[in-house]
Amino acid sequence: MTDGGALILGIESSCDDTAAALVDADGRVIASVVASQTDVHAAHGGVYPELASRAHTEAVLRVIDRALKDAGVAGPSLRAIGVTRGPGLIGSLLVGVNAAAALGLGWGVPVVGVNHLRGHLRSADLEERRVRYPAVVLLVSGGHSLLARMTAPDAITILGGTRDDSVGEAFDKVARMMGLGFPGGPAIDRLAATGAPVFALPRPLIHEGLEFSFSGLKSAVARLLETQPDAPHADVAASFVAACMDVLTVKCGRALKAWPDTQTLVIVGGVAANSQLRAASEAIAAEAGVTLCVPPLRWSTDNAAMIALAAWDYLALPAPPGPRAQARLRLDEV
Amino acid sequence: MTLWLALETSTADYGVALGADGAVLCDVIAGPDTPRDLAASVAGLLAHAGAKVGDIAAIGVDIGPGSLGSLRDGINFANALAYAIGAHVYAYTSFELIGAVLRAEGPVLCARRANEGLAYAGLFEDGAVRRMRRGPLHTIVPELAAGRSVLCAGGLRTEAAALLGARVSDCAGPRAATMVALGAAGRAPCDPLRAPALPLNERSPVFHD
Repeated sequence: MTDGGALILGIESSCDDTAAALVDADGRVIASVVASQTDVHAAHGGVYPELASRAHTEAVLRVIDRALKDAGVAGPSLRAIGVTRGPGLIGSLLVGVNAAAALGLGWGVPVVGVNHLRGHLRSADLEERRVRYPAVVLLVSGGHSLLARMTAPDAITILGGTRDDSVGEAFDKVARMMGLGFPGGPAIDRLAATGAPVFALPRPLIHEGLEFSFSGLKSAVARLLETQPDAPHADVAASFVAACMDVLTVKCGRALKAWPDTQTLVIVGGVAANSQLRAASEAIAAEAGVTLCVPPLRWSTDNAAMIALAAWDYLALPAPPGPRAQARLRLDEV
Repeated sequence: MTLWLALETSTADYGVALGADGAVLCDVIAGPDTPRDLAASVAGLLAHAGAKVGDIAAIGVDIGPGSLGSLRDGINFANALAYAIGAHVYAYTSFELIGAVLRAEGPVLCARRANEGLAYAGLFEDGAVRRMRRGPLHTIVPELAAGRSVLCAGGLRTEAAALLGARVSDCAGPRAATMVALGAAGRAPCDPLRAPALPLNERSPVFHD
């Protein structure tokens, strides 16, 4: 058995992935296990909350047990447990926080409730220290689209959020309009790669500030499909993705200009897998003279390693939050 | 010391009981106005009993039907605590916990609110829940009673009794202490890893057979 005293067990169950991981204070990932629910929700065209919660209950102890066995660690020897407390689907969050609370009681290990968004921000430092501060962070995922400035791992200021849909939600909804199934993001990306951005779609708020809005763009795609039913879907997808990526990269460039002391541009979240976003961000980062940091895809999507790494920051707080589920939580809340 | 822990979270009042040999040693109910913190409640009861968490050998948990959000609290807590300390988990329906308290009164018709303006109902007879249904109260209650003389219990007991012209008990809901009294007799434990306790919901086969 390995000594678990230098490890935190992370537990993630905020949406449709059940995950557990063991991570040390330097971000070294000793074990990471994810149980995906994609098959559970595919027939519904999106995440069905009650089924998600049930699938979490069925999987949560299994993934924890697997992670502990992979690492050769006994639960009672752990330094702590970090669990996602929000934001997310309340029924899904309840599974993780109650499991964590009970494990903490049974093993005699402290438990901290971690803000999922702070986990995403810390994902860039998993396995190696990549982020130099101050940093501008773009978080783009199924549930979130926001820009933030970090002067230290726990010093975060939100620069802009979304006024309506997240970019990932827009991807899923447009995918549904085109009958691409669930999850929509990867399907849209694959289709877009085979088309050309020939349709002029709006770039909402592109000339204003650092906030996002993707609802109007999504509606524009719906109108396009309605008025031009023969429009090649590959070209529609390519035009939609190009519009999203334009907005995201222009906002990043604006933030870098506004904070010229920035050392790193960090892009995290599932949408960070998009190759157009990576290419455009590289150009913007080079122009601003900052380092671009995009973590490996396995740490961009929801995972428990990022929650465990964030939990190390929480242990330093005088009164870290406990395992209480909170469906709505802002990035600037602990 | 070999202890039983019972968790009843099918409503906004969370009941936790600690027992041994079928008798309750101590219990607590946390309501909407007090923190519903299961870990703190269990730790408090253990301290009161002078016991350690590792002394818990069996955990009973109510799996509903009831409020899904609160059931998830108790069920996930029970599964994980059992995994952590190597205890057994036993699942009980809310209706068998209600019926067991009133079994001397003959058949018991239990009725509780479900979502979407519907109800859950179950008929407890001869020591077990015979049938359960989810649907409009005025439909499922007469179907389950099937002309029998029953005693109505549960949150919708007054409404159910009015539909049937039946007697009304004062039992509004299940209690954690009942699980301690019932024990594990004739009941197989759940496997927290392969087949954990799960909440009953509208899709559960038990409402459709």
